[in-house]
Amino acid sequence: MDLNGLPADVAQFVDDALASGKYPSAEALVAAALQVLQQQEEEDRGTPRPAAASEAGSVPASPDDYLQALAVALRTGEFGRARQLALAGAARYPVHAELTKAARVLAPPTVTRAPHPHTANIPANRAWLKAHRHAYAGQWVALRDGHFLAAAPSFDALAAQVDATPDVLMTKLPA
Amino acid sequence: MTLAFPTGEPFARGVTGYDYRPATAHETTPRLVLEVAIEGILAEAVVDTGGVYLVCHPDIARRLSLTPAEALSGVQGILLRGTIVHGRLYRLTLTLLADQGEDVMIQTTAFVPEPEEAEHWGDLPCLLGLYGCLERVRFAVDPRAEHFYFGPAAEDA
Repeated sequence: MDLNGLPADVAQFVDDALASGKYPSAEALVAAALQVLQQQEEEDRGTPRPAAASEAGSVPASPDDYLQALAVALRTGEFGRARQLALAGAARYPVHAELTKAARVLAPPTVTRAPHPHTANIPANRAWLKAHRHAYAGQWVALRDGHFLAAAPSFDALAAQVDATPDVLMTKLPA
Repeated sequence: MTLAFPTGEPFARGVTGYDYRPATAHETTPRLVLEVAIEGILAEAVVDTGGVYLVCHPDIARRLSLTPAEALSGVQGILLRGTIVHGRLYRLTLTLLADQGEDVMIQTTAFVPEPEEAEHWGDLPCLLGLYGCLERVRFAVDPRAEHFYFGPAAEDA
């Protein structure tokens, strides 16, 4: 293969590469260069490379691989895959504490009737919020059973003013 | 009060009112805003069927006294509403509170943002996503009465 007419610096690179013996011929060097160019264009177009595609579909080989793949799935918004990985990882490595925890955390939700009815007056809270939402816009407010307890510009300031028992609704009203 | 199938089996176990308003000051589209209990603590939450998990407001999460040891290990970066948010994943109990009928408890996947996320969180309430949170709940909305009906899709033990 003739590689005449190349810019001087590229021609020098070719000469050096062939002299080093890394590439058996000019054709091999050109083929390697074109593969790099092809990968770059595929990445620019968003086309997954074959290696990446096989990684996504492959079975993780160790507990750490499962946890790493799970973190990637969460970061990329593949929440269904995250659950699959957690459940499969825990089934394969049932004594691995982190995988069993992941399976518990990411398992499908379970729904049951509450054993005891709540005692808070939710309709009264709702009525207060509807009536006073604009007056306290942008503020945190605390309510108990429809009774106003306090308002503050921040959660910390509100928490300092009220005894925040579980039946106290603390919420920020849109500005 | 509650809805029922033709067989008589109840569709829902409880019903609650909701507020129909934008979730934040920067939004104009109204959302269904419910009062719920997270680990027994009252909070406002938006029904977000396009979202995932129960997402806690970072300040509300501080009331829950959670410890990282209960969470999936490490801080996770999760894609929420087009933004990577850093936080931890827990299994929490969410209770839908009935004005009439029975409360329903959901053992749900919950995303709790790191405390430093509070600075950028604004006035977005907690979010009730479909996947990982409401996916096993039957629910229906009566927009005229502003009633949200709910019940288990199947009774879990």
